Amino acid sequence: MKTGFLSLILHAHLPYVRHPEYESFFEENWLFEAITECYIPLIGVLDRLQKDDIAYRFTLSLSPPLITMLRDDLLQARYLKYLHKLIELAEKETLRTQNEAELQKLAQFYLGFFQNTLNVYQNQYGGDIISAFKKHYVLGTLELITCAATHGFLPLLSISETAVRNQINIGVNTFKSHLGFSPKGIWLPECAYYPGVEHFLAEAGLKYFFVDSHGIMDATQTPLNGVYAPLDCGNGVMAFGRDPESSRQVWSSQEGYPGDYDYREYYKDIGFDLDFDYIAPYILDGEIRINTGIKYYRVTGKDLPKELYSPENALAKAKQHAQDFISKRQSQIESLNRSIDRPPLIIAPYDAELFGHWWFEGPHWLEHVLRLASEPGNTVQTLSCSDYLSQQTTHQVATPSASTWGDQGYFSYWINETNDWIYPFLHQAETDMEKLAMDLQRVTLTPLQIRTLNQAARSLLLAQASDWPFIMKSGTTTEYANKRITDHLARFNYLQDSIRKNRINERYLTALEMMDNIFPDIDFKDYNPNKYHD
Amino acid sequence: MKFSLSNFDPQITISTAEILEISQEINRDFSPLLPVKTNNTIYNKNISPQEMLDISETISLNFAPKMSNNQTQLMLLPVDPNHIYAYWNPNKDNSIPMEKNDRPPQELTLRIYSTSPPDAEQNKTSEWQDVIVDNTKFQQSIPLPVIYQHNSYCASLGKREENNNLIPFARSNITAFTFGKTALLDKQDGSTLLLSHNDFVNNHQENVPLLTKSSSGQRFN
Repeated sequence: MKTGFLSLILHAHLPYVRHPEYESFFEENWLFEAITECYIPLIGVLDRLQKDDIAYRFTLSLSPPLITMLRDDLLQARYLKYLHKLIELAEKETLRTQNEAELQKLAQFYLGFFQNTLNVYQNQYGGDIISAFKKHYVLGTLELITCAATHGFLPLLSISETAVRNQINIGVNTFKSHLGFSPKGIWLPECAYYPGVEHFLAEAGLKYFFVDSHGIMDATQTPLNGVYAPLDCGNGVMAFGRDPESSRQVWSSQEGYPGDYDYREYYKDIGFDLDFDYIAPYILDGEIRINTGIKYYRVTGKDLPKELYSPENALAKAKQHAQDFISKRQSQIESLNRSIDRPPLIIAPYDAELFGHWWFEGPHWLEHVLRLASEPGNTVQTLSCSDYLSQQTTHQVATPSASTWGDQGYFSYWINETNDWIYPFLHQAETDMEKLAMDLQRVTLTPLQIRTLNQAARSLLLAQASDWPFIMKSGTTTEYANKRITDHLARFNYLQDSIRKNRINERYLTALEMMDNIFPDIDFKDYNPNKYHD
Repeated sequence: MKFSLSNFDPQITISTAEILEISQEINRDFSPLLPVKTNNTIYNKNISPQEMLDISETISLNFAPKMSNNQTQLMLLPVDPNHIYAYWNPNKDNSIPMEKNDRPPQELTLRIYSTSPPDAEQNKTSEWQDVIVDNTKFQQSIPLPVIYQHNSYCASLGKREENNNLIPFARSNITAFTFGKTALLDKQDGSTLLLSHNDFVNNHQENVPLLTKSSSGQRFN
């Protein structure tokens, strides 16, 4: 008998990395790696569950930049080129390793993996990953939800209501135009909530969002059911709180599943290990070593020589971990049922890109969790938050506290000495955009002027992505993050200057439209704050 | 029919490596491409990648972001229960009097008021605290050592006189964020602790010296 609920949510997002001004561009590999290792394997999971007629519910949030990139013809063509190159390398590897049986078996494993990826991507879904997800939505097993337009960090944009409104509304509209229906829920970028954002969510027709555990625990009223039931923010929009235990089992750096010694070691890749001349055609510009995705070793253990990866052992471990996860949820539900006034709901959200990319076996773990939960013998039932809301109609009213799921739980990862310089510029650009929209509200504009203003709004949105301050703090590709935010702000300044001086260079404008071709339906008039006050 | 009975010419010998090379060449040059979709309203002007790059670089060079004097003079942003962040541009209208050396004063005082929003609207303040800020930086994270009654702050930036009066040069927005006072800490025995934010930060720094992050700020192995 099912006595409690489990809602698994994957949040899929990548910043907008599309560079038609270059023949190839390293950061586009972020998308290609995620397609190969995360999104196609995830589709494989959903397809197998469908084939086996498994009853489950699972939620995936798709950010607008990711949706747009997955639907972009340039990136689709470049992805195919990338994949063919990987297949070429895997084929070469099967030859190079012909005298080392165990290594060759792994090379053949990768060759099969990449060939299957190509088959699923090209033959099964015609390059349209979004349609694959939609298929499962239509089947009733997958709930799809949206995210803010460019994954803007809403609390630090909130000095302007218009900025927050546009991030949310454009996120919802982009989702609708690609998926063909309105999302019921939203993943707030970085799980960053501040009291008041629920009013803009309600305006956009959204019913629910997620906060980290302490957002619920520190709500304006003590939560009667802890994080195991949502809070009504007072306007009918529901806040669901992340379960710390489910989170720890996957994320913990010390005891999380992905660190198991049998799992594939992410940091040992042939792009760094093999002879330079041999690997040169498959690395960056033939000069800089990068990850290729072919990794032959397992985590093994701390300070030990790495041992060869065994896919069979790793998959067996993923099944074992899925069983452990479900068992712990059952115990949790049993215990919670004694203390709360309704069937408990366990919210378990994760970054989609953890599954497959960092944790290679993650998709298999997820598949087995969903299979095990579907068995009639256990007490856990998977469901989505909208399913839950249709079953439970009364909720405690309270406002969560400001919080994120980032390091230390608040905003410091996105505003600190490494990235604080961006905020005066972002706020100034937002103010300037709003002023442009207000100044021109009663002016008849030419199509060229409208294009210029719409492109300025795109530049502003792309500058607002939370990814840039995140990268600056993490210290990974900081030069790229600095350049991206500076370029987008410069493009905004240029477009604003063109409008103010009424000197529009159509060739320049077209080049900017070709480079930043996101949000084709954007309307700069939405930046006029008066529009929302009249 | 067996393949050997077709027009296959067994007299031509090809090595495994050569077969692989041929296969890869065909894959590279003749892979079917997806049909091109038009999903936006781009106006095709035959702009080459090189021209796009040139335009991008020209714009970045000539329109790089720089602070204008038209922006709000003093802005407060929330960070966490113990910090706010301030940035300022106090020289609008030359409102800060220069020192004798014709330079703006190096040290200014940021007077932070704890206030509930209705109080702030009526310009009534209950408590305040001064923080000396470095005027050459124009932005700074500000610790909040006093636990104020409210989660709402506004500030004035100015020069403090000997009698504690502040000559304000700029006033801030009101930042009104309700932060909690708890944080979650994973213990090695598998349990999860609810701690005050201060204890969490101390514990966190001692026990977890190096954390790697995912794209969304979560930690993972």
